Amino acid sequence: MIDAVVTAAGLALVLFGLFVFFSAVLGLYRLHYVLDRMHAAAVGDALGIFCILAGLILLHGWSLAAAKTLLIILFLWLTSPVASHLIAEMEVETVPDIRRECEVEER
Amino acid sequence: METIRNLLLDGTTAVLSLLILATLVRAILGPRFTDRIIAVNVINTLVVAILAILSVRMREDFLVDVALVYALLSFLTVVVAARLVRPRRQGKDGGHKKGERRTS
Amino acid sequence: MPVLFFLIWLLLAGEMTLRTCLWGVAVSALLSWACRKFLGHRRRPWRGLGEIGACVSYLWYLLREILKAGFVVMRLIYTKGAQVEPKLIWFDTTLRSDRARTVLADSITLTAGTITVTAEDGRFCVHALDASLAEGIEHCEFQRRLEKLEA
Repeated sequence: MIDAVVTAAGLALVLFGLFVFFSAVLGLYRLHYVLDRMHAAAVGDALGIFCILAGLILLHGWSLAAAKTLLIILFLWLTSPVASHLIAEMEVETVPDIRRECEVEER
Repeated sequence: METIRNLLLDGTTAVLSLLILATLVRAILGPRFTDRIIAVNVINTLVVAILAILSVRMREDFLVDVALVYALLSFLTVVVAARLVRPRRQGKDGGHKKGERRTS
Repeated sequence: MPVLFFLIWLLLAGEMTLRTCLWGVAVSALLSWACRKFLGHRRRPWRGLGEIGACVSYLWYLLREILKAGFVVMRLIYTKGAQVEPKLIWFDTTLRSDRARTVLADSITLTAGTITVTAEDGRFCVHALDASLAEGIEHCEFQRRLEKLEA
C-alpha cells in the first residue's frame, strides 16, 4: 500500500517536471531576447530538474542510485548559476547596444 | 501499477525527446550565438533528465553514473565557450564600457 | 574538505571494503592538498554550532525561494509572453567578504527570473525578467541573512 503511494507520488512529480520543461521550452520560443530566454532556461535548470529527479528518487527507493541522483541535483544546482552567469556576461559584453533591448537602471 | 509506471515513464521519455528536437530548432534559428549556447545548455539538462529516467525504467544503476558525468561535462562546455569568446573581445575594446558605467 | 571528498568517493565507489576505503583516504588527502596549494582554498575559522544552523536555515530558505520563483516565471511565460519588461539594474551590495558576495550572486542567479551579469568589487549587475521581480533587489532577504552569517 505505502509502496503504491510512493510510486504514485514519484510519477506525479516526474509528470510535473515534464510540464515545467515544456513551459521552459515554450518560453524559449515566446520570449524575444536572449537575456529573457535565459530565464526560461533557468526555470528548466532549477525547478524542472529538481522535480524530475526528486520523483526518480522516490521511484528508486532507498538505494545507492537514489543517493547518486541526489548528487546530480546538487551538482546541477552548483554549476547552473555559474553557467548562466558566464552566458549573461558574454551577452552583455558583446551586444552592440544593450539599452535598446532592455531598460537599464542605476542605483 | 507496474504497467502504468512503465507506460508513464516511456511517455515522459518520448515527450522529453520531442522537447530536445524543439530546442534544437531553437538553436538553429537563434539569431545570436548566445541563443545557441543557451539552447545547448537546455538540451544537456534534458539529456540528464532522460538518462536518469531511463535508469529507473530499465533498472540499470550505471546510467545514473553516466548522467552524473554528463552533467559535469555539460558545465564544462559553457565554460570553454566563454573562454573562447572573452579574450577576443578584450583585445578589441577591453574594459571601456565597464569603466564608463562605473563612473557614471 | 577531505571528509567531503571521502564521502563523495564512497558514494561513487558504492561499496565499503578496506581497499576502497584506503584508496579513498589517499585520493581525498591528495585532492584537498591540491585545492589548498593550487586553487587557494582556505579553511574558515570555526565559529561553533550556531553557524551550521544558520547555514541550514539559509539553504532551506533558498530552496523554498527557488521553487517559488520557478512558479512565478512559469506564470509570466504563460500570461505575459513577449510583453515582459526586462530590466538591467546596477546596485551596490553591503556584503564585504568575497565568499558572501559569491553566495549572494549564486543565490540571485539560481532563483529564476533574476540573473547576475557581473559582480565586481561589490557592484552587482542583475538582469530581471520583469520589472515586478526587480523591486527591492538591493535589500533582498538573501542579503540580510548573509549579513547575519558574515557578522
